[in-house]
Amino acid sequence: MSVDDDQRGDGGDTATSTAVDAGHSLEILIVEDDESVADLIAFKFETQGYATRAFDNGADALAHLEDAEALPSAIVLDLVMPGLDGMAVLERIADSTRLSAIPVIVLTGRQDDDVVTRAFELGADDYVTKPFSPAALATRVTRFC
Amino acid sequence: MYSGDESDDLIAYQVRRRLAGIMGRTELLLEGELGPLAAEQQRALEQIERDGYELTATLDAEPAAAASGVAAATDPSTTGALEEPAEGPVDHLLVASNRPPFLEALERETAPAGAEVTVVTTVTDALAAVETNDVDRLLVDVLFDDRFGLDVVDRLASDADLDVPFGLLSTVHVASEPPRVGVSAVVSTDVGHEGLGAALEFAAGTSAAETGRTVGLLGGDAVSPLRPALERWCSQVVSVDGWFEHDSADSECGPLELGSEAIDIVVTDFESFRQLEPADIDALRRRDGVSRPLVLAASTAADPVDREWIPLLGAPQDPRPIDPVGLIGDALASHGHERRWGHGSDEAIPTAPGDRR
Repeated sequence: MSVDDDQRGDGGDTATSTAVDAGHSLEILIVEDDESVADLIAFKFETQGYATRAFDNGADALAHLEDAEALPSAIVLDLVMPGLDGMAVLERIADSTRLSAIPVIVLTGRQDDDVVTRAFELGADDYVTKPFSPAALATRVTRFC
Repeated sequence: MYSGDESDDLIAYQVRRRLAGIMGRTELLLEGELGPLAAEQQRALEQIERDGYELTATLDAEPAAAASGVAAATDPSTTGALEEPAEGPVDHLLVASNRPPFLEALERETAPAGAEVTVVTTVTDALAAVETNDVDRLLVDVLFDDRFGLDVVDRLASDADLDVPFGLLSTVHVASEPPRVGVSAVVSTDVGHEGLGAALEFAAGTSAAETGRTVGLLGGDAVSPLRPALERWCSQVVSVDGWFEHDSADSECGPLELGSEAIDIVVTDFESFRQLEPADIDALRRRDGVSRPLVLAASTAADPVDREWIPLLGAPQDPRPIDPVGLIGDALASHGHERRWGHGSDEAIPTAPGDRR
């Protein structure tokens, strides 16, 4: 179920990705510092035919997005991460005309009302709290794809 | 230091993170996405899923409700404030710690079990409480503002009338390791077979049936009284004293090699431990890079604990709380069960490893 180490993406040690078939644009970007959870999400989407790319911090994810030729279909974004956290990533995406159209689904253990409100204010398209159902998460994400 | 609300939030957040992996994978298994299941496997996973939902519901409970549970747990006069007093044995548990993460997690763990809990935050108060002889169990932290928690352990060891099983809570860790418990369990050198077996079980985190393993004994005469009991519990007891005699040509193995030796648990005494070099401690505490359980045999009041061992273990440099839920959950696995550790008695001496249950 783990993402093969040989398939690490452009982000070096901090990123993992599945191979994207030629012409297959349905990629889900996972930004999650918990490897166990990132692995679980990647597995669920891959079984549904999506490609995935995972980063364990916001800075590397943003650097990838800024350089990427093809943008992901959706982003699953954790909030609490080392370095650039999820709220800052949301803010940068919202400020970028190129990136702001990408649907962002926040997935986090934080469920305080003010955090939820702030995430939506910053442009989150949906908000899912941990623990979560992989099937429900996939449904909520793929409706944007 | 964290405030009560902050540590509550932190603990809840960490539990949610771990639950995400557990429940997510349980769902994948139940949905058959990882292969077909036998009926028994299916039922077991369904139970795991139900437990996960219940735990999530507990986390989702209103903070006010949790706060009333805390009050009830810390003040016996308000026990009625608990919504549903749990059935089962009610012990008087004394908790001595000045760390909010420990205390908050403890209250979460004990309130459902219906335990009467007294919390003290100084060693002076802990000593006064154990003197009342009204304590069934003790969980004591090591580092306090006034004195060392080991003073309480010494007091118990010095008085046969104070037969209180104890657990040691500690964030003391080897400096080169990630935050973790440096000492897995502490026993008094005159601990009984049952108490020693429970300490090994607690240290290794396995059931008694799996405790038949190899123990490395370090400390010569200081720990030799433990050997007969250890031999009942473990498949092999090996002296590793010679390995730490750096100038001895007779040494079978050097301390660094101990890091990869097939020794599952190390039992030593404070004095031997105090004399070790940091690299030796690292070799003791780690086996192939994985933490190895370490049981310290505490001296009695006749031979006071030398507190210099604490800096050798490494002060808790990292202010982050270290998984207090898991820590206290492990410690309280004894609550309402037979599992005990610490200053135990000689009752129910087993005839063979794993013959205890």
